[in-house]
Amino acid sequence: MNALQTIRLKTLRDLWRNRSRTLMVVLSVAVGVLGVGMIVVTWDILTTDLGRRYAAINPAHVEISVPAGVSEDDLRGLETAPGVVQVQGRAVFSTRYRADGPEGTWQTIDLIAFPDPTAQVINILAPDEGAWPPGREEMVVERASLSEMAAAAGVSVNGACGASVVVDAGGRERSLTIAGTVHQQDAVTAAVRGSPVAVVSLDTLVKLRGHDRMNTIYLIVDDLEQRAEVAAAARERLERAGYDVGQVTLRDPAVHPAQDVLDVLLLVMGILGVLALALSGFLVTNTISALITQQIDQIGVMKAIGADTGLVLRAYSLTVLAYGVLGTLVAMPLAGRTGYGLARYLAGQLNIDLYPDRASPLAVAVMLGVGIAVPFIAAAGPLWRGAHITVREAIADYGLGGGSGDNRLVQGLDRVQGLPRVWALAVRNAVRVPSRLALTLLTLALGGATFIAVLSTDSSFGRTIDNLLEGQYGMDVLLAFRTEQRPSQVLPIVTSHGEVVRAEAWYFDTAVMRLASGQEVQVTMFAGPHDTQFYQPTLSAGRWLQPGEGQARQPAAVVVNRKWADEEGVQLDDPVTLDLGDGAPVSEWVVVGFNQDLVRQQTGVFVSLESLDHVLKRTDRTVTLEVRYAEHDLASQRRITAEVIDLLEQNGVEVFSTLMMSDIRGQVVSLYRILIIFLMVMSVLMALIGGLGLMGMMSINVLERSKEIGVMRAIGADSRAIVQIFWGESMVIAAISFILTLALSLPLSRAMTRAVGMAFIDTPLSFTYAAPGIACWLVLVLLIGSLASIAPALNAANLSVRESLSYE
Amino acid sequence: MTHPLIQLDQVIKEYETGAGPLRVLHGVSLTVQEGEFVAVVGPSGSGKSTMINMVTGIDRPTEGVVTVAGACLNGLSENQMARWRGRNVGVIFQFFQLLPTLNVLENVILPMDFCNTYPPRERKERALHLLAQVEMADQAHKLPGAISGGQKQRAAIARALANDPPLLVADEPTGNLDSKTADRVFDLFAELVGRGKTLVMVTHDREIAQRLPRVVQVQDGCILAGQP
Ligand SMILES: Nc1ncnc2c1ncn2[C@@H]1O[C@H](COP(=O)(O)OP(=O)(O)OP(=O)(O)O)[C@@H](O)[C@H]1O
Ligand SMILES: [Mg+2]
Repeated sequence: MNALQTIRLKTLRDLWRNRSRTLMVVLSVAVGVLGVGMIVVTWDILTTDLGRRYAAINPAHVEISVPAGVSEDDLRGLETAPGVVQVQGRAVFSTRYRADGPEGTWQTIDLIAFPDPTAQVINILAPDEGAWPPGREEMVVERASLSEMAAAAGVSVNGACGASVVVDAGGRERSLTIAGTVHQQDAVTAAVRGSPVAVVSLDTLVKLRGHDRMNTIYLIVDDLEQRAEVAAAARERLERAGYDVGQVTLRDPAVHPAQDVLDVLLLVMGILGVLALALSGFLVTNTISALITQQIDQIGVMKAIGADTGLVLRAYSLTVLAYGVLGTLVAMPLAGRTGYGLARYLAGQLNIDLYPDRASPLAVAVMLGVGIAVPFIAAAGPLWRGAHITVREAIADYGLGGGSGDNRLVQGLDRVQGLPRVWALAVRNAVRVPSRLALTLLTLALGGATFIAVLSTDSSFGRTIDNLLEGQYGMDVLLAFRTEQRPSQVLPIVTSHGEVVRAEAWYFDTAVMRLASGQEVQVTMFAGPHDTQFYQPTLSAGRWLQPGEGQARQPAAVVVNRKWADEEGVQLDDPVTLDLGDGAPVSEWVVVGFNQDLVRQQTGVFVSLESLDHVLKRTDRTVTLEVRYAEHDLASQRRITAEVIDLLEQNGVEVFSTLMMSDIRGQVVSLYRILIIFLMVMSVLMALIGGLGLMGMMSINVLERSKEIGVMRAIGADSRAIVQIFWGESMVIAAISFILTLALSLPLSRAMTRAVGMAFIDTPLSFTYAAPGIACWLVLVLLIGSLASIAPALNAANLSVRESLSYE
Repeated sequence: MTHPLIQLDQVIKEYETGAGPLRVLHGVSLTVQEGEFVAVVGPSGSGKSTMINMVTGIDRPTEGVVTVAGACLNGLSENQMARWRGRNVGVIFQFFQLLPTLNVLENVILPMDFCNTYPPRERKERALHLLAQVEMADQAHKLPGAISGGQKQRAAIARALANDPPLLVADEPTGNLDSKTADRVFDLFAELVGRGKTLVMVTHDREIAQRLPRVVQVQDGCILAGQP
């Protein structure tokens, strides 16, 4: 056996002899690798499965909206258009439904119908449970909408099939029975989406809408590269046939529509995962550094008898490799399980079924890579230092070990008098090896700062939403009428209710905007009072709407979304035209301002109702009212709304639908909740690493100070005193880390809040520092400090006095 | 009239080793009276340290009874032993073993803290008094890293005296000191014995051993000479 083998054997034996230390380092490497591995597993599984599931429905390459609907013949005509392989039409429309009974309140539902549900070719809906296809007087509900519909219909989810609801059919009411469920792979849950989705037969479609034309056309093209051209040709063909074509959307069949949001979410988590991994590296640094210090004399002896630097380096590298490999082996199955679990949760939110649990080769490769590389990077410093120790330095090192105890910090603290000795020991011992303390503090403090930052992000988001709903959307309810109503007639009726504070008339419609470049884009037009109190624009450039726009030869003003404008290349003062369709004249406008808006669609454009009426030469009409009440809780919103509807109906005005602000809040928050849950998982991982780091430091300390423990025993310390000294040291470290956490948490909270805001709603959130989170972390970190010191302190107390005093 | 302070009765000590039990003490019996100053000598590996570890309770016998300062050590738990030792035995080590993060004064106060022997207010004053006895009062506020070996050992002696124990046990206390410094430590011991302390000390120094009234010679785990 050569020298290297002998030494290697020895280092491996040391791993086993110091089992608790090995366990600690292996665990901390494992937690770090878990953090990264879990995210990679989630990303890999989700992306693959989303892609495969999406591909399986044969997703449309082109989606064309024709609001008025296309006849079956004209649809078939598209099949012969150049480059088109398959065509399928669908009727997709919103109406309202309520429970079958006199008391149900109306809610919005999106209905889908198409000719032969058993012969679907594009965007295929998969039968789920119960009947398929829907028969007469039946609807088949999208499975993710079932619970919401069941709740609205007043039945249990299990009993939903067979229950019936009333659907508004243009003023007449029709009862439809829920006959089963269907799965729409590209539909998110109703909670995230806003309203439920259901499929009805062509028969029912005719009864509800009075015709069976298809307003959504899906195309499959023969060459994906050419899909823009094919889409343009199809559009032209439809227009030649006399149709008013709305939005044309090109889709990538290889990428699920939700992939973008998913990428952002996983990126945020990935960053935290990498941070966690780096922190776990610190513990490796600490341990290897302690190991080298402990074995300085051995290294000296090895060198004295002829080992060179390279040999020493290789010998200890084996230890590092063992830590990395063992840690990775522990992390892998855990990362697989938790990663798949997270993927399944996310997939559930996206209404996708994952394929069965399986290994992710990508994640395995990443984990092996980082699990072995990170410990080596972390150990590089101490390894290098250890291997270059000279024989003279090695034999000069003697004494109690574990930091000579006369560094500046200890000397400085020595001047602080009046602490009981036991606490003085705890405080000064904590600072004996400053580099070790620094790494441990950093680990704990970053864990704490992340924790507080996540809570801050959460409360910032909540506040931002409240601000928006309160400031930008100061109304409590949005009332839509069946037919257009004159504001001068309906506003007085609504404001006559004692608890209505303010009501505004708004007109919403889709329109085609022709830009200065000549390009045409579909937009959603919001027309309201120029001095609205229910919408507070956040202008990034230009100005808001003013009174008298569009009169006296002035061009009428329009405010557009900043992000959208950036993408489309729209400038301030650009002349644009708006075509509202339905035979209304094309009108001319000028862009006066850029607005940032995170809730309304990015394609939203704002004009004043006054100028719209003027330009269109119509007067005084609206389809919706935005109303603010004196009370804003959900119960009051519901009650007052019912009373206002009564008032309107007494005056012969029929309300078509209502939308409570609390519902909007629920939608926005539910999407966001997912992110916060994920961030929380990561901050728990980081806190865990912080705890492991502290535990690692404490057990290294116990190991290094075993002789001191023996001395204290010999001069009368009982187990309680020993435990108190080590526990105290741990608490001191926890307390210092808390101060550091405070300093770190503010910038980190700001950065995270900003990043999440930009990633999710393209606007920084209004920042709220989570003060309760600080108190929460103080308790947590003291708890972590206690828990982390229990095992090492008990270990210290159980050391045999003779063994701890004996010299090796 | 003197009382026996230490009584070892047929003490056998075996260590578990890879090659089976190794008997290090072969039924040792030893009696030390109050006020005696005893040297323990013998070749390296003969069992001296093992024997006095029986006296301090740092280690336990495999067989036989150990009675020190009126207490039968065989029956004490580790915690009881630690507290008993803190009050009754001052242990002095070859390598001084001052705690490096506490200054000299605090090192001397520590045993009083552990055993709660003197009222907290009086501890500092007492420690300073003890340091003055070993001529270390002027070094009281230094950290151990900043003083010499002889000074460390005197500080360690002051620490051993902190709880005013009747018995002092030292394993090669002068082993790491030059002969002049060793002499001063020895004189200090003699003075303490003169004031009524009992002192058992392992030493390799023949000269020092010869100056003592009683020398216990240990060889191969047995006591050869020195029994009265
Ligand atoms: N923990 C142990 N396990 C096994 N054998 C031990 C142990 N401690 C001591 N021994 C053995 O017991 C014998 C006596 O050891 P001890 O330390 O008492 O000798 P000593 O007389 O104090 O020697 P020295 O003068 O060198 O200090 C030695 O042979 C030693 O090898
Ligand atoms: Mg010895």
